[in-house]
Amino acid sequence: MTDLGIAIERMEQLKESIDIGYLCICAAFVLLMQVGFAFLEGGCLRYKDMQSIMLKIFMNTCVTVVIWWLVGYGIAFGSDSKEFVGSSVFVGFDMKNSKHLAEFAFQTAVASAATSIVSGGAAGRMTYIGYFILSVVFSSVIYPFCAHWGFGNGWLMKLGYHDYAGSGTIHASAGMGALMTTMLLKPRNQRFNPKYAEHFEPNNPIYITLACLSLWVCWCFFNGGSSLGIANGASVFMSRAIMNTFIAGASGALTVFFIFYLMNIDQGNKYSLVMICNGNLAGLVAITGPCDNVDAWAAFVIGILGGMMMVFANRVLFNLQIDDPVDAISIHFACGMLGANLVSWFDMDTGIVYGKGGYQFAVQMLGSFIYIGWSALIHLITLLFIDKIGFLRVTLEEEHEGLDPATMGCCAYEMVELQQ
Amino acid sequence: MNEQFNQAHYDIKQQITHYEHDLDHFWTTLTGAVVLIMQLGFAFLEGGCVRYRNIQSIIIKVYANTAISIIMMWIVGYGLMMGKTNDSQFNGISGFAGFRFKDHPESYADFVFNTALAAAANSIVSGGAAERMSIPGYIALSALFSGFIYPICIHWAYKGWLYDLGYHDFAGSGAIHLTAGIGALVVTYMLRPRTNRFNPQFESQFKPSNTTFICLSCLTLYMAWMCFNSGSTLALSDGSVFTVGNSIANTMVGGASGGLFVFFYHYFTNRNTDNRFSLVMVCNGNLAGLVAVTGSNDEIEQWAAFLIGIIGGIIYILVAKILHKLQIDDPVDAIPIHAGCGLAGAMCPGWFDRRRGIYYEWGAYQWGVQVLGCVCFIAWSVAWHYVACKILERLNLLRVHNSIEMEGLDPTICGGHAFFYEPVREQEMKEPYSFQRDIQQLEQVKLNEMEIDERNLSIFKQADK
Repeated sequence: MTDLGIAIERMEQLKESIDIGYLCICAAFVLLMQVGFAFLEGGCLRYKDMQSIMLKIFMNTCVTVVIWWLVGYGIAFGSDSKEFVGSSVFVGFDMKNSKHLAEFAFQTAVASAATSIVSGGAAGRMTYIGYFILSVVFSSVIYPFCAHWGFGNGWLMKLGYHDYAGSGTIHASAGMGALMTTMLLKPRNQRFNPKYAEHFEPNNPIYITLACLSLWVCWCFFNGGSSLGIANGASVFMSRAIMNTFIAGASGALTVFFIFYLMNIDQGNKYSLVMICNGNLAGLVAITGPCDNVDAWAAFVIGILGGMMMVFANRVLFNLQIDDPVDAISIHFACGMLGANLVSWFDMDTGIVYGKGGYQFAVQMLGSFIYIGWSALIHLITLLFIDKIGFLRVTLEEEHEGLDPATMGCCAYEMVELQQ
Repeated sequence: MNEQFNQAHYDIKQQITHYEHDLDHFWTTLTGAVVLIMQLGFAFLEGGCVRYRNIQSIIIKVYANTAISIIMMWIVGYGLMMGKTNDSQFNGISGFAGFRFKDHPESYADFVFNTALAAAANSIVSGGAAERMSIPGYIALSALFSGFIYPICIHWAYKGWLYDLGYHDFAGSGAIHLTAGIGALVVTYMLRPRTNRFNPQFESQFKPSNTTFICLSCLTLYMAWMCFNSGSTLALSDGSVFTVGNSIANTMVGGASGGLFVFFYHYFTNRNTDNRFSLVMVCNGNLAGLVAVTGSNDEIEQWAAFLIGIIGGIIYILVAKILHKLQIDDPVDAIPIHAGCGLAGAMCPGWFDRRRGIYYEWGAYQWGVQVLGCVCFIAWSVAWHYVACKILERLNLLRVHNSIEMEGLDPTICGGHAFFYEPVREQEMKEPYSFQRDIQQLEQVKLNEMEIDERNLSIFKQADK
């Protein structure tokens, strides 16, 4: 009989090893998303602001990792969790086994991705100290609570809120943060003056492509890794999530590409590389919530809806004269809200399309609005505080000269810029 | 008590089988997702090889064909490729549009991996279409390729009549690279060369626009190729992990030997000129070696991988020379690398495979089947690509208008150049390079910029008042 016991024990160890190995690989790839964010935002801004946004992203990655080690992981996933907040595993103590460590790595990488989304709203005109304070608050107060409610057995999850890799929990909350930041910072100078419209075009679509193609691959691990394991049948969810990520990213890219082509069919710029990249991201954000439990055709439709939502949100922001330098709000906020709510339509077990009734719809609505409300409130308080102590916006001279030469001493690469 | 023991024994065996399936799906999906990063490699490879004025257009083509291959594979391609084979073993007949996936959950992982490979194959064809094919025409062609041309070839090689004959092509030198490379050849031939490509006066205009992009791409492709090759086991359990290890080792060695061979060959033939060390050559040689070793890497030894890499390098150099002689314009060297080395790579299992090859005295049957397979892939690919290009030509969707091509696709239809700096070569083409003149120009530009900024500042200050 002891042979049996040994066999069972070895099998348990095997299961643990498979799960931990998988989580660690996913954690590493999700951290690689920071490269994607850096080059996406660098490529979208003006040439003279590129280094500044890359610095902000690098800084917020490091800030988030440290803060999550200190308090964030404990609040979000602490084991003696109440429904509102976790309450153990602070400062890395009490991590009981290697599965805990691997989960910590993965969730921290996901948290840094969330913080990088907020940097999109701060691009081009926020001071570094102000952004530092903002990312500390985001990664210690705003996001861990959102993660706990939605992922860590919090009250929302107990109500049935289902958001697999975090369309609502991550993208909508962080996107709302970007929206608050950009509204309080006010647009970049002369952004909505039609005379200077060309001045604010993305300066390097090639960087944007580099970013989006690597983000697509890393997103597969972002979505797939949310199964937190592959043993005991979780591998089905993982592979289904990755399949849906492939399909929705593809349909989102093609949708926005075609919409932009049709909108500009008689002009010279009808084929746009920036648009196909943004559409790709829109599809990916929209599928992030529903990815584990929808059919392939539903992923196709979700990608298309995400693309359409992104174009719509883009137009609305432009008409309201809200400056969104890297399209963070139209991609993450708008498509994140969409993704969180499409779960209730297309989910195979609880979706309206499958005739399962509207309870899930109500819960998803509740969840997504709670997230953006919480995010908006805390961001507002923090930003007003930062404004009070005078670290919100750079001076007008620095903004005109360009943040790179003014604050970092040199531009990203020394090229002879073609005069437009 | 005996019954309890038997039951427990049975349960454990069931559980182990489940874990094995989990591991296999994990491996297939992981490698499939990593193979998607080859699209980044292809985008930057082709972007770096074409001229500055067409960079955005070729990257749009690569990005669009990635998305299209995924959608077409989902709708029809996966079914044709991996569905249950029909009576004549010509194509699959189940698994379209993902409908049966829920009942066969192993299909998810299989779909992810095969789709990533399909996207890579599609990007190979875009190499022939670079710089002068119209974008809607290329989109139609890639939909046909990933929905029909490519899945049928894969079905023959891995589930259909060719597989039954014993054709062995581990990660697809013949089925993937040869098919797609021949497609690129047909497309580039039907498109005719870029204007002035073979005019000796304009030779320097057609050099790669950004060799650092090529380097970024080839190093990314090298890494992703290890997952491309080793993922073809579609499993990790039950001894497959040893094949995975062998496969990755062979991929590393084959790529390395190909790169070094072409690098040294280029050095020795250009010893006394000013371009004796070439980054582009080491990158292309690397890719040539990788493609050549793709077909056989599961069952060969490392010394054979080394040799095959060198063979790939030789084929690359020979085919590139032949194409140049025949005045066929290959902007990104897709044909020597993928078609030429794909053909060589498809032959190698017949010679070096431990369980089938001539070297190990298994006779020439395997080699015969490999030849048959390659002939079929070439014929199929040539026929359908020719038909497609002819139809596009009729619809006037094949080549862009001459005026668009001369100015460059980026400024005319893609909204502007890829990035706004003037490459030195554009000036070089007009006059010989002068360091003094460059410094003077830089100073002048800085002065102009300062002037413009001062003017802007004063305007804003006035507006603020």
